[in-house]
Amino acid sequence: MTRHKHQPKPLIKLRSLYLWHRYSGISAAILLLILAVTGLFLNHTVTLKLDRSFISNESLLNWYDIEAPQRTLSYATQQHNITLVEDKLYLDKKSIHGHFESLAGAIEIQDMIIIAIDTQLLLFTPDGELIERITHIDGRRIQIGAIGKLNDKIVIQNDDFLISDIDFSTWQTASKKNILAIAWSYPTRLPLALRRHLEHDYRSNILTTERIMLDLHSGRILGKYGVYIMDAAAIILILLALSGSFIWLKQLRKQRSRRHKKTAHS
Amino acid sequence: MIRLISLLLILFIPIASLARGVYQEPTDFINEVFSNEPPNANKLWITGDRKKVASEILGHRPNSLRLSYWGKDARTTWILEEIGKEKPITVGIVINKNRIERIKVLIFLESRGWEVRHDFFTNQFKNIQLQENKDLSKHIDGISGATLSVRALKKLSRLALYLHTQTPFSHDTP
Repeated sequence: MTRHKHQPKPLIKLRSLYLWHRYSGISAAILLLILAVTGLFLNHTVTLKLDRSFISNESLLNWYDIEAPQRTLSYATQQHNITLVEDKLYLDKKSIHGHFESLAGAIEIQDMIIIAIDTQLLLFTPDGELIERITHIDGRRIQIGAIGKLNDKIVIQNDDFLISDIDFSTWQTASKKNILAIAWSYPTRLPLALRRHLEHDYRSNILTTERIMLDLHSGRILGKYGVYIMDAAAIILILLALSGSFIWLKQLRKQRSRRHKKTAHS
Repeated sequence: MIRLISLLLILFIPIASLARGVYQEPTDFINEVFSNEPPNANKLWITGDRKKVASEILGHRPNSLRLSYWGKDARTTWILEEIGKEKPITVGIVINKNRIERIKVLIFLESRGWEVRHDFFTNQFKNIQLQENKDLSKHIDGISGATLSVRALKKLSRLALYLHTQTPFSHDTP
């Protein structure tokens, strides 16, 4: 009867545990990388301006069901298109800073584009640089119903029909005869290419990089199943930590017993 | 009980939200400055060298290429806007004989830094003029917690003093 025959069988074989540890480590590696990289990005959201940078990738926008805008209103001057897409205003393809509730019309006089928003007149250069914002006429806040042209003069429909020259320094009430001669600004249909461009630009200003990072981190980018995948990854990581420590302890004990045997033998 | 509820309400209403808003309409400010007889608005184009200097003062390009101002004798009044942290602060500034006669915060939409509207702060600007290096001739004491609003007001006062020198009204100074 040899001595080793009486040795008890280990509950968990070290080799099988080692193999399990290895394969689950490899399978969780990709998810761990995603967690670590996105976590790093999220820790520096403000510095990296992730909350201010937007995703324009069509596939991602579609994945998030970001739809084309419902409201598009456009006015054409001789050479330009002024368009309100939801609350964003565009001069041709250029987005104008701010949020806008409505658009009453637009005209062009002497290389100046005049856009009428219900409570203000915005004056732009053809390059889209703001010249001036007019909110008051004769000390009173303006409320514009429509904008038009009478020769080289600007006409707005406030409480009355008011006419001004390009300096906007003096406003006069239009006579009945003049009212009939006003060329009002009417909504027009946007050229298809421009419409598509503006719709894409509008959609490209909704989804932030921060949102994508958060959803990658939590797994929500793949819907509810993505969350389960990340949960599984987290559980695997916990088990890896435990199994790793267990293997290390076992090996440590083995090494110690070997060393002990050696010293006893010698 | 009612007293207790009132006290709790007072404690829980954020002071900042009460402090924000329109303190005076710009038109009312102009009327007040010119004793209800305001002159017609003049226009000043912010292009070329003016744009360069204005950009240096503001630390960014001016928001618009043309500004309205109201002038009479050696006085001009400016309604200027500058972002404090996130939202614009609208300020009325009166320049008289190349010195600041009055500065008033008219509209304040930021959630912090509203203390700059108080007279104890704005009175510091009185009689200040612009030095050759486009700095103010006197130091302005800041307010802790309102650094960005203080900075915005200092920028706007420097801008108004500079713009005044670009108008015909600055030459009326004896």
